[in-house]
Amino acid sequence: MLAGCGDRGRRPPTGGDDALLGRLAATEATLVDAWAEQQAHRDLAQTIAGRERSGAAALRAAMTGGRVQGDVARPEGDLDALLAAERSAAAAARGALSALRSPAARGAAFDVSVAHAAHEAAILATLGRDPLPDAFGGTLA
Amino acid sequence: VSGPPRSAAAGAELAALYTLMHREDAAALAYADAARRTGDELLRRIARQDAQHALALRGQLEGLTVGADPPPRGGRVSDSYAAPLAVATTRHAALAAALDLEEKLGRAYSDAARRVRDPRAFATLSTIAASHAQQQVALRAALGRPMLMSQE
Repeated sequence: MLAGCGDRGRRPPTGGDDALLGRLAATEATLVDAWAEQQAHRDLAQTIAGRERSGAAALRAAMTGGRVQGDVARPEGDLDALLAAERSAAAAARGALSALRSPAARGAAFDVSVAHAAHEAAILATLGRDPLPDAFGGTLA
Repeated sequence: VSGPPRSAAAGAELAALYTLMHREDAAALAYADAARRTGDELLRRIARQDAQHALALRGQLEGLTVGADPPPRGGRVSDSYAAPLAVATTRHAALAAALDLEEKLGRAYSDAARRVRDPRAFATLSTIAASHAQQQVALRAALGRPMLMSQE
């Protein structure tokens, strides 16, 4: 059932919503830099970099305190490396949803996870691959 | 299916899931109609994917021990999101109506994510919303538009 049974999710993480959002925002910032350095497919890279920047801003806006920090390795290389980074970022944002407590925090993480799925599709299409991997955003693979 | 009394908040959550399920039902039917009419393979694929979305939401609701009605008759034309796609007569009109439908569904899922509180629903909602985002990309490409909307 949907409500009324006490704790409805996982145990809150250390640092609460702000810590989780801060880590997601750090990932977005890393991806902004990675896309900005991408020399091939400039239009796609600039568009995605802008969208990542907006995602980071939305995550920061949902924070009530705390800092944007995380140990995020910048993806190096071609579109395949960035595709893997986008998928990883989407999974991280989806994974945070059940731990986030405030609707604003959850909404921001949700929107960021969806944006990464769109980036994945655009990269796949650019690479000449199927942009619709399955009915659940490529999560069944 | 009857069960224990539910709070107003729980009722609102269930209503959100029901609404999305019926929108997916209607979308799947509208896509199938448009695919038959135009012969477009992308529309046919999205019809199948949206039917899977409806099935997943139906399973989510049944897992919450509430009944999930079958798709309403005529949902393809009574649903305000799906109706323009269901009646589109050309491939281009169908693709444009489909993109508009997907953008509305995307906003509906984003809104639901802020209202639903049960963590078990998040995986379902987020993966279906991801699929709709990818469908938008494919539809925009089919329409000859930039695949991604700029957000700056």
